[in-house]
Amino acid sequence: MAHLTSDEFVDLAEGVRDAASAPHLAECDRCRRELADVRGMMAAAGASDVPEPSPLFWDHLSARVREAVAAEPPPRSAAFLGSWWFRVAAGLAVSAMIAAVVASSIVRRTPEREVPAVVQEHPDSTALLGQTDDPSLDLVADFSRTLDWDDLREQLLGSGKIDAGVGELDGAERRELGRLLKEELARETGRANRL
Amino acid sequence: MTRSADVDRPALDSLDEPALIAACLSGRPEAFDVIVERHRRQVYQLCYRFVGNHEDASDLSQDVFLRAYRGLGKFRGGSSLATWLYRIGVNLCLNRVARKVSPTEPIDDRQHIDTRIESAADRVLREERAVQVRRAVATLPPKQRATLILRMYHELSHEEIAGILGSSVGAVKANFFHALGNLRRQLGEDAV
Repeated sequence: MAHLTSDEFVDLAEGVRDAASAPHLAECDRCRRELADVRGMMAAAGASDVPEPSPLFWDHLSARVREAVAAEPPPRSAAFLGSWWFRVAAGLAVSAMIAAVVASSIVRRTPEREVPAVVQEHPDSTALLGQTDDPSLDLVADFSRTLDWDDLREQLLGSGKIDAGVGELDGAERRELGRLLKEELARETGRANRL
Repeated sequence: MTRSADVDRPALDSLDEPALIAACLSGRPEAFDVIVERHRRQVYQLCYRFVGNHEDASDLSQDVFLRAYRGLGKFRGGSSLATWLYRIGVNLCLNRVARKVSPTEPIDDRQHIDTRIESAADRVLREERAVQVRRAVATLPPKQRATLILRMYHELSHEEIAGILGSSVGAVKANFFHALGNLRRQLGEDAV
């Protein structure tokens, strides 16, 4: 004899299914008791309220949230996060990070060079970009400091949007993107070699 | 808040949620105040049921709204704002309970209850029973706890809960069933 499943018990207890649709109930004392227990426990659990905090608490909570929100940068709309120039800027920032990692790995392979100095000198990897004279890279640097990496993963890596973003660029923009990437990579490599 | 924001508040109060979100995204953070005000009780209750004490529930509620503010641009309106906030809340609560064992409320904790309609003895019994149930809920395995709380106290459908927890409807119903069974075992057979 097949007893009722958890799905069936829940549907019957919530009244989604009529008892007539489960003829097994009529012949199984165990399932009838189980169903009564489920219903009884739902009633007992449902009667338990959360204690009401002090009436002052709600305004206090709102004030705490307001204060925390005031310290945050303004939220960005999905349209902003999906815009081609944001994706290109984010792509550049990611490329700069990769360049920094490549540069530091070059340094790490040379034993006489002091790798920790690189880390200490540039605790914020985006600071490298901020030191350039190129205003477009300054823009990228500003962006990359406010990046939410969870957003980035979702926006860029999850669905190949970097490729799609680059695909939307016209020829001149692609050439400029390539130039910026090469320049940044060369700068990082040069910096690593000097250290 | 500035004077102009105070003047705008009645106008914001009359906005629906998509309009409030749009206002936030267009640089009016005071619109988020209205969102907080509309949902703070439900968010707090969700967190309280999860962690079983006021202090943690209060901190978690603040975190929920802060995360929501940060991610407001990603809210696509596929679910209600309340469901989205529950999703954030459940994730934060699951992370919290995975990290630490929260102190649950003491058995003699006294609540603000309307005393006009029941006797003192009835009130004490009801309070004690409610505390026992909440404590039992707070000791359920995390996914069972989340399922029971969202279903029983926030009246989300099994489908919505499945969306929040990233599981199937069947798994949600099984979790709900087992949560009730565990609750019964914890509270004793006289619970029903």
